Amino acid sequence: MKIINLLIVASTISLIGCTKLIDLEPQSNISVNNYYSNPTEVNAALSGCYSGMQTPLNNEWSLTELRSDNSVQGSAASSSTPNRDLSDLDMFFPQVSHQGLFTYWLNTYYNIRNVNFVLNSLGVNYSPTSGALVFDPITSAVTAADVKKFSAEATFIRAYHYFNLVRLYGDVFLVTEPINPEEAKLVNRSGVTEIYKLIIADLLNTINNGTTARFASIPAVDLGRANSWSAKALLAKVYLTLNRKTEAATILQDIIANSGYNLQASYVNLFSIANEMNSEMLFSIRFKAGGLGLGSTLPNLFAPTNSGAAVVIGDGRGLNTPSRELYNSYTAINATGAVLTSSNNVTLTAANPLITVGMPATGLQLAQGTTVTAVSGAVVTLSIRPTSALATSLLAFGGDARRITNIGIYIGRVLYPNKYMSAVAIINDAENDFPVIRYADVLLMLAEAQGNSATSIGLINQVRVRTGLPALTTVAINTTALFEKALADERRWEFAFENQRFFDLVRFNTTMTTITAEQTMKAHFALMYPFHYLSYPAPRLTALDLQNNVTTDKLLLPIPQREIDNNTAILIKQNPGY
Amino acid sequence: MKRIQSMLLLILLFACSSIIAQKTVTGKVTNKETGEPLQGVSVLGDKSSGGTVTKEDGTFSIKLKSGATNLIFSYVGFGSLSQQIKDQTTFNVAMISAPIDNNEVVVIGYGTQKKSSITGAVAKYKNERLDEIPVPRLDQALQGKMAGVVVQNTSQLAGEAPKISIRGISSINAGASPLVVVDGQPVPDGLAFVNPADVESVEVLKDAASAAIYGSRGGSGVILITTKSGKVDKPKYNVKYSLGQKRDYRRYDIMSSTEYVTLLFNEGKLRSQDSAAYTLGFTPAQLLAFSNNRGNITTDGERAEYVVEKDMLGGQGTDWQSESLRPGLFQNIQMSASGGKKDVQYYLSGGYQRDEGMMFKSDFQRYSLRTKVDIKLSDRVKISMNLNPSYSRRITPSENFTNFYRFPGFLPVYHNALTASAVNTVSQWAGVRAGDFAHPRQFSSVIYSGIMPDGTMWAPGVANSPFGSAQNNPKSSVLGNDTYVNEYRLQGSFDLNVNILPGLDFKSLASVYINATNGLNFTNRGATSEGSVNRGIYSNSNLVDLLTENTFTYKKVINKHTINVLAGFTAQRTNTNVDRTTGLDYPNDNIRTLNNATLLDLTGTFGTRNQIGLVSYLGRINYEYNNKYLLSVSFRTDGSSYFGPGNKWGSFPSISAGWIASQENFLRDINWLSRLKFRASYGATGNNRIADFSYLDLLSQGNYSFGAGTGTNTTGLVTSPTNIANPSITWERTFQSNFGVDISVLKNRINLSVDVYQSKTERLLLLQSVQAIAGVPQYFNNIGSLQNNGFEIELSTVNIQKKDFKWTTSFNLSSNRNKILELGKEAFLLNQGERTEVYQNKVGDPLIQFLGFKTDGVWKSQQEIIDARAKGLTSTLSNVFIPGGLKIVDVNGDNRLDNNDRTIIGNPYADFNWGMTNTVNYKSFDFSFTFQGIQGGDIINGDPNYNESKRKIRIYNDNRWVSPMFPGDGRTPYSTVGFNWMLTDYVVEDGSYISLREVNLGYRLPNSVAKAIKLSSLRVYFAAQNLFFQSAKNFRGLNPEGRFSSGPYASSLLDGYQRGSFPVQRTFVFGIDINF
Repeated sequence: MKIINLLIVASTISLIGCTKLIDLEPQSNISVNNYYSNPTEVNAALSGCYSGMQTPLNNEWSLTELRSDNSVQGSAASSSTPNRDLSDLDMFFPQVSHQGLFTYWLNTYYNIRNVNFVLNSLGVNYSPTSGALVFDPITSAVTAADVKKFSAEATFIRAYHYFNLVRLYGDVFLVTEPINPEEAKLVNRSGVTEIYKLIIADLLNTINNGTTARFASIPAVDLGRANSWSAKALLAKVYLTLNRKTEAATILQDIIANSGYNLQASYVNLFSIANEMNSEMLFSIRFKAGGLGLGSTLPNLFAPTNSGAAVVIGDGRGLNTPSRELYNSYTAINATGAVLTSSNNVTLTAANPLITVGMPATGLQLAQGTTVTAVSGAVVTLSIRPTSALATSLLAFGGDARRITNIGIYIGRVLYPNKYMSAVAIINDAENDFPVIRYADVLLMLAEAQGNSATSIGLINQVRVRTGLPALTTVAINTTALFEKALADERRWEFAFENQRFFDLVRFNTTMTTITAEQTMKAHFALMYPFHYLSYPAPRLTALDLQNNVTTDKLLLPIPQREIDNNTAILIKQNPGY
Repeated sequence: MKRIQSMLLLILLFACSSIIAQKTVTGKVTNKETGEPLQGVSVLGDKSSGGTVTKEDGTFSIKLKSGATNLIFSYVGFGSLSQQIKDQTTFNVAMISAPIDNNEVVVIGYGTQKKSSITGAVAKYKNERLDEIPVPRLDQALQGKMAGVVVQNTSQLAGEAPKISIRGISSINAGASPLVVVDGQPVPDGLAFVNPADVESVEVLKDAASAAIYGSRGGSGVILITTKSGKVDKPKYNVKYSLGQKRDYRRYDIMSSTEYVTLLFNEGKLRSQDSAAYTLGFTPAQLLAFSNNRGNITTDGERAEYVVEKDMLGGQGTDWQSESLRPGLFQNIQMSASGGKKDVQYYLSGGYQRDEGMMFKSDFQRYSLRTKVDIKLSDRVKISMNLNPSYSRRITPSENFTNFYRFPGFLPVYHNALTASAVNTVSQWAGVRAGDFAHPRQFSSVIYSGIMPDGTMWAPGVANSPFGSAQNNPKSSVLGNDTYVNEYRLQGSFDLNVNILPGLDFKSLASVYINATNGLNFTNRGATSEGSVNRGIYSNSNLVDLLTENTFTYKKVINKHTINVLAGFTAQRTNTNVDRTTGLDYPNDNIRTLNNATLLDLTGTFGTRNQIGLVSYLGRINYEYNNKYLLSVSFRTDGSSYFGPGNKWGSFPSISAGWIASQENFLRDINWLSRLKFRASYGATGNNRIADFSYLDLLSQGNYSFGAGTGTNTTGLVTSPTNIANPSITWERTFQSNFGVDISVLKNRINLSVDVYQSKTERLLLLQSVQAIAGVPQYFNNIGSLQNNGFEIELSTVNIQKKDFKWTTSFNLSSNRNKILELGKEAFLLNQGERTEVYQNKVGDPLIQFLGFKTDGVWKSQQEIIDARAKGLTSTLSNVFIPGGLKIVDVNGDNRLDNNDRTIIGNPYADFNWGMTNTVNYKSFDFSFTFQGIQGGDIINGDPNYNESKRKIRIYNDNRWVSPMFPGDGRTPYSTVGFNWMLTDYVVEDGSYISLREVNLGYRLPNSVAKAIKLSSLRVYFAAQNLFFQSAKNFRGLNPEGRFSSGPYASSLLDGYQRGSFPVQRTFVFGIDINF
């Protein structure tokens, strides 16, 4: 009977203790309400924001490189949805409900949310009216100095995201604090000017409150963090984009004079995983291999399909295929070299079947094994002699070192972006960092800000000569058009697959007088049509159709249709042309 | 406390006082219809006299207390009988079989009730031959057995859970599967581990009034599983053994590469006779090929396939379906002992089941034991113990069926000397040797040449790639992977019943359910792709669920009033730990423990802990007047940790009433009417099954690398990328009304129950889309409402009942319609499936409808297109105007084919679900068979999305369009050309089917023979599943029950899609059933 007594007593007790049973806190995750209370916690949340910069890179290339003349959608014959979607981007008619557009949008705003949580906890708020950040008092155990330090890094990340968003989508939604679903429905698009106001305020915060140490004095543990110099470089690009060249030039000169960042001697080594965070990298999004979940997916995305382990373990998806036009635009041999000067009709000894008859050339671009039959002005006529042997050394001919760094060739005919290739142990887990802004960019931006001048050509030459190419001379570059062409090409070769080309082309519309994005893309379609777009299954677009797709409106992506459809509270306008 | 103590003392006194005066009566019980003696009839004296059972010859002897006035005879399948004792000492009783026992007891929530008193909608399925059905799981055995309970075998992998729904779908994003309660304890995977042989009965609480006693978890219905208990009897032993085999019912008819390329050449010949074939918009190169090859547009890759298969594999392509399927073994061994004396009853059992899937490396085994003891400590105190440990092991293959059959015939499983030397010509594959696994990539970039089907020589002199895939040969992937899960479960309960005062009982149940799971998924080096490291994923999880239930019941009969009151309190806590570790790079594929791993993959390594608490108060009053008028009221209040402060508590009331009209004087005299009863109920139930802590924004790991060199991994935290907190999230509530009528006529030989119901689910726990600018795409919100209505019919008849011949039929049919009443402020939601097919949820319409293009055959010629365009038809869609491609209907008539022409092209909901079981007993033979089927309901067939399927599965190619002069049937598109099939009604197919789900034929040894070999009975039987399976005429897949849902597509809003379904399985077993 005692047992029965005990049981009834026990059940009575359990009656009393019952509310405790349902007042539970999560055991595996901490809630945002209980976090950000001290510097260690804020610092971890800030690291999370850096980590959030990785995800958008998984498809950023499809919105930038693929829409430029740098790359094409590799599997033209494929009828699979992902490939069709990519083809749409490649051919300049993305649908408003395109999945990739939305994914990038979401991943970017997701990280903005993370940044906003951090800034919110620090009491750092943006005032759209004054266009400045306001530091409100906070109750947590984070000192004023730490508030400045953390906020400087956080606003850099936010500015970086908004800069990409505004350049891709135009008027976007200004979200500067963590919002809930109801609040989100009340936010409409802000004008480009308003967005740039935030970007500049955020970057100025990083410049003013971030660390200003010269590159050599940055503590090793802080490598990879955004600092005052990273923000200056990015701000210069913002100014350049807004065609505020003087302000850009001032900042750029400051970086050149005072930052301690400089050019690396060798382009080939620049992206090596043994040389990460080198003196040229003002800011990189970092990846780390080793099964940590921090690895880069790009090698497996970019390696050719069916290549087995020949390029990277785990095979590739064949995405972001370099255009032959880009490949051929790199100078394969030195135009002033001994081989060519002797004759206009030369036979070289090794092989490369990729140069096709009729392909115009920017410089004199000759590949191994190709018989040069005629050179007429800028057009080189070539005939092909295919062999299966791979090119051994292009450098031996004094060609542009950037070509083999940037573009790989599989089984003698398939091109792939080679910039971020490193051996992986696990699929989608590569070490390579992704450069956001480099010192070479600082030099070339300054050239762009200053326009055609001897100093500008000197800046271009700094970047150029380390790749094995001859310096440009003021004698040869004697018009604005030639200068702008040389600068644009230099940027294209230098920053291929760094997701710069598309933004560059759009910016050239304002910073340059002789180069427009539209014309460049039309020329690209004309060039690439027989070699790529013709291989789409019927009914395929004609070269003219493709060129007609390139309109000023289409330089902006549509706002993801889901954002418009989903909002039942306010009317959101789509971008013109969609 | 004092009061309780003294009360218990009182109870003790009562318990000890037993009266000694006794008298003995004897007699014999026979079957009135056959005159045969009945063995095992329970004979009970009233006034606590205790009971006995009849012997083989039907005789019994029982000692009665002096006050006893009645003897009660009861026997399964017979109407119970009461006899006054008076001075009589010998009773010869003839019992009448009652097809439906009106005194049958039905298990309901927290108690039992006479079936005749039920006022809600409760279905009961008694385990008769349930355990002889050749399926390993209880839920699979329930298919087609109860109206309104729909079981769908969405996968044919061994041990995989089927999908169960009761009365349609009452929730969109929260869990919509019924609550499963095993012997009183809600257990998430109850249907997976209970050994079907241990099951006494399965009750399903279908209407809200019955399920409301389970409150916040009853919204999708409740399945109560009651296991067998011992009875007062001499020890009985039972041994059952069955063994059989399963095979696929039907496979795809797939063309080999030789057949396929030959077909292309034949079609080429036809085209060459058709001048109009040259206007198809082919490339100049293809047009050139036309003239060179008499209209043939075979690609070089296809020619290469042909050459490999014909010249290197001897013309015999690989049959990839045979490489993946096999005959599977089915085995079932059961042993049990049960019995008991007056004060102690026991049931002990042990079982082993083995179910090999049809696919390679698909295997399920379960060992289970059960011990159940009921002890009467005194007249007023009873305790019982129930222990059910079990162990199961599941092995699953790493590749699905699609990944086998889509591989082309030319690809060998292993290289032979010829294929090896062919691929050796590519330097990358120079090391390949005969006997190695052959992978598709190795065949690319080889220079092929050979003689074509038309006798011409094909020698292009350049490299060609017949079939590209980054995937390894599927057989090598499957053989290079071992995935198993071991589950160790223990369900145990202890309950105590105390009779406090006459009519007042206290019951306390303490039960525990433990599920410890460990699994390994080991992939060998290079098994998935070239150069991939070996990988071992170790998963461990354990779930401990503790439940205490304390209920008081009070029963009182005052004159014609019978009242039953239940009041109780329950508390449940569930702790879940899940750990997973992923190790990489083991020196040897066969040494697989973690200590050998060189590297940990942190993306696959984590541990989580979770707690869920539920506290409830419940009560119920059943009132019955004069056996005619019935009323039941119940109430439950649940407090759950799922929801935030202020939203934790919810209340769930219900009311139901019944009228047994046949008891009224004006119906009593109608002879043929045995019973007529009307039932009506209304109640509220809830659903709380959403992700834990949805009311909070939680942070999770988001590390980053800072520092020199390759950087150092640094702790980071990020918010949830998938859900944004909703602090006010609360229950989903379902209100349901039910009306039922039960009619029995002709002495209960025909019994019909009809139920109609309507339910409305409010405050749906909907994953609502959020503006992505908030950073997260969706969050749980209580918006929208959904309606289900339908009817159920259960009919059981005794068709023939003679001495040696009995034939009974039971039939059930149910129909459910659902409708979205409201979706917050949205008019509709669109969801995109795996192949961009679109599912629409629109207010006023069924929950899911397929939105797509209507088609009208194919474009027969370029001229037809030119004519259509001349009339102004345009399109913004891609691949619309292609001869041989699907022709889209301009639904809105604006002469423009665009997304506005999408219309409803189907929905996944069946019109009717039905099942019919016939049982025939003839002398020593018994024969039963169950037909089960679904009428209506559409399927989006995703199989032809694969170009490989479109090209090589014959059903998609028969009668296809070839050229304007040879348009086939005018409806079958040519191969992969034209508009995407997946967006059209061309892939919407009828999901109806009829199956002969079960057949069971048995033979029982005559009693005399059994006796001679000292057995009480011996029966041998043959059982089969799916002897016959007929799917709808336009269904082109393999299994209309199959559904595909995985990853992001495992959403209840994407129903009706299937691809890669396994064939239907057909199983035969032979079994033996011995009792002694």
